[in-house]
Amino acid sequence: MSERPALDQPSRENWASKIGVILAVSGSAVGLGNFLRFPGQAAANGGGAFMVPYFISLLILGIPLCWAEWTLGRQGGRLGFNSAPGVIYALTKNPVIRVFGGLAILIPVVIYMYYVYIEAWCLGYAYDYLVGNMRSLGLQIDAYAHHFESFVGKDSNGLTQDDGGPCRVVYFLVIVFVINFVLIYRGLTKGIEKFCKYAMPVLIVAAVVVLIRVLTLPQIPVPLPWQYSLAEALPPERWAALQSELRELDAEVAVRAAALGALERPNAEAAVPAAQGAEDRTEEARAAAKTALDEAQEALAKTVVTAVGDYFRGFVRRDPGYADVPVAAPYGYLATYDGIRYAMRQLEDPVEAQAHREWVRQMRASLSREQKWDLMHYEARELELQSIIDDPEANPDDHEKALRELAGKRTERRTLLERAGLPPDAAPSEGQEAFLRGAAAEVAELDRTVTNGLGFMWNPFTAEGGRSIWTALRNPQVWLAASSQIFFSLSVGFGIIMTYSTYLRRNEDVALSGLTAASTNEFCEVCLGGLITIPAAFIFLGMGAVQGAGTFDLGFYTTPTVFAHMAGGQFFGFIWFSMLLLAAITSSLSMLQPAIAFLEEGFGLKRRGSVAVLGLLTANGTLVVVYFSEGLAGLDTMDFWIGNLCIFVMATVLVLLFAWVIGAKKGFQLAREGSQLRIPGFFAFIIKYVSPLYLLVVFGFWLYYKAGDYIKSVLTNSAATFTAVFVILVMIFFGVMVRLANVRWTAEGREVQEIDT
Amino acid sequence: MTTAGWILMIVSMGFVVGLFLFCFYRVLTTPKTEEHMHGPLDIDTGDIDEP
Repeated sequence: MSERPALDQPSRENWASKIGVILAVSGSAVGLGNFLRFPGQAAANGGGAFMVPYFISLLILGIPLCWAEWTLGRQGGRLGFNSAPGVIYALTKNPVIRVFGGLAILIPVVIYMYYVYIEAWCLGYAYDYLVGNMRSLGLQIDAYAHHFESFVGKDSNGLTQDDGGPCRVVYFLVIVFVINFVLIYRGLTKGIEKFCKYAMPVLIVAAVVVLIRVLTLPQIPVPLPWQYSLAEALPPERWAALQSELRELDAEVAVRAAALGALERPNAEAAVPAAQGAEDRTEEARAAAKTALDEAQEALAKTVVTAVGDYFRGFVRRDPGYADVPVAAPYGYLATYDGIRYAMRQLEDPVEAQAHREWVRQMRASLSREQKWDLMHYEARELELQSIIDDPEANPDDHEKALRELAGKRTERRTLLERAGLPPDAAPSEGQEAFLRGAAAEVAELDRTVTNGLGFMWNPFTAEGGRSIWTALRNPQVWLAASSQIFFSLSVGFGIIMTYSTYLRRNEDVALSGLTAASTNEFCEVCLGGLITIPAAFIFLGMGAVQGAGTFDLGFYTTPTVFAHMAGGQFFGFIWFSMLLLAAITSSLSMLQPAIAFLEEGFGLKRRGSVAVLGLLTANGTLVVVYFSEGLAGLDTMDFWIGNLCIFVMATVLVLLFAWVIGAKKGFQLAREGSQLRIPGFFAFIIKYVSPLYLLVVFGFWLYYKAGDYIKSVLTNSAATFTAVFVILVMIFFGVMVRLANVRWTAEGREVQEIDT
Repeated sequence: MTTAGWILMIVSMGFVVGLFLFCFYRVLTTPKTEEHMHGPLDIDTGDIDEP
């Protein structure tokens, strides 16, 4: 490839040291996804089995793409360019690929717009831990959920709180915004490199401190469900008042249920006195009666949840009569009306309660943990199979298969029930099912130890409750989740690595540096992220709080609740959120540099000018995100269309550029120049055929599973629509800018005349 | 924690820690290469060696 001497180019910045660029690139990759998204994804998608597709994706997608981006960037730097559109301009004359160069600016800039908002949450939480504000929230996860929603303004759009003042998060947002732009203004070596050289080791040390705390946690007693424990935990008069309140609410539910029943069964009113006055049997009346019933049922469930919360608060305040008894707050099914009603029946009927206790005791003694786990999941599988059997349009083969499997499941369950001393033909009536479900959930509670917490994260499992790693790997969702995690975690396809590597010296190594940056990211993700969040949440909150938790739930509801239960939790909470803040800043800095480089290189702006333009643009975008905070619609929309979709597109463009335009063989020859690590030859084949194919398959599955909801959201939710329009405007803006820059470079005679591939 | 869980955790950790340590060992122990612009006087032509 012919290279024009860069003698007539403006003086270029270079990284001051090799370790500096490695830490800057790994700082860019290490973010909240490593500590919050990874454990949640692994725990929800096969546990330990998740790691098989995860490492395969690392080898055939993550690492080759990293090397490709490092090599392309260094080559662009050799040709005198420092921005991703510049690099793409220099490496190809293909106008379509050159247009896609704009994505390498758009993606990091738009991600910055919402990422800095999340960064402000981390700063806000770290501050609240430092000054002790989090103490007042007590031990209930609901309090933390409410705190988070109020802090980020999730209940309604706008920038103000209920009292008319600006949302608290706005103050923290201003601080992190200023920090980012001050660092970026200081430049590559004095700003980004210097910050990352200190921040990355501090971040790892902070995570290790929290990790040691988690791995040395003592065993926590398994709490009893509220219906057994609150009687001893609450002062007697409070417990009596609660029971009385529940009876009244239950009676109210019965009245409203009867009223609704009378409206739905017109001939039955004579048998239901409470419904005799109901004359209006229109659809409206039925809807009103249904709403009234739902409200009454919700009030009943809420009373129990509130009572448990009151207990935790009273216990923390050391109020008289609040005993130190492990209480399991109701989660999931057990927090619904049906679950609460089931628990109340045990309170009302001591014989049933005693039978239940006896049953639980026998279950504990007679069945292994796996068998209890299996029993818990049988019902869900049976319902699935029954729906196939009942479906008249089901494929006859599927129908036959479902019948056979159902018969097998029932036999298996009868055996287990018999072994537990229960009637093997226990009727699957609603009450009995509730009994089985609640009891099975309870007995499946493992001892709250560190090893069981690790097991919750690392034991392989299948969606049906099985434990076979091979069965788990047959599920395409597990593969999709693992591949996406690798892809997003390594920050490939953003254009960031490409920008950073343009600042390398001409023959600086890229193979070892790229692999080292990727391995640092993996270390933070697997060894730190994989050992902290889920085990700690399991020990203190049990399986209910962890199952199905999303990234934000895990990070901003569950983890703070864990710190509230932990000795020294305020200190560790401060360390944890400070660590997340550092991880977020090292990432957000990297999102600004591509645009700064582009504005300076494409339009000859000085640093002050480029920082001002970018500051104005990103401030507007962040304003959109913060304003449309209801349900985090603004953030979610930008994340889907830019932080997911565009990254897939950009990564595909980079792979094609490296493997097909330049040529995989030639590309790896370039990568080997100055290399301190031998890249095996088969990677040329992988990046040419396997990586693009794998990328497209993952992309296809991802679109199939995820895109529908977001397209619907943009069409129906005005906040999502507005955000999408804003993103499109930014996209047009950068498209025009890249085109103008290309014209300018051509006019300056910077187009490479001969591309030898 | 099941045996399979232990195996998966240890193998995953081992692989990642091994890769991480290997890479940093190589980065920290490889001598720094300087880019020199060699002038004619730096070039050893070998023609002044003792016979």
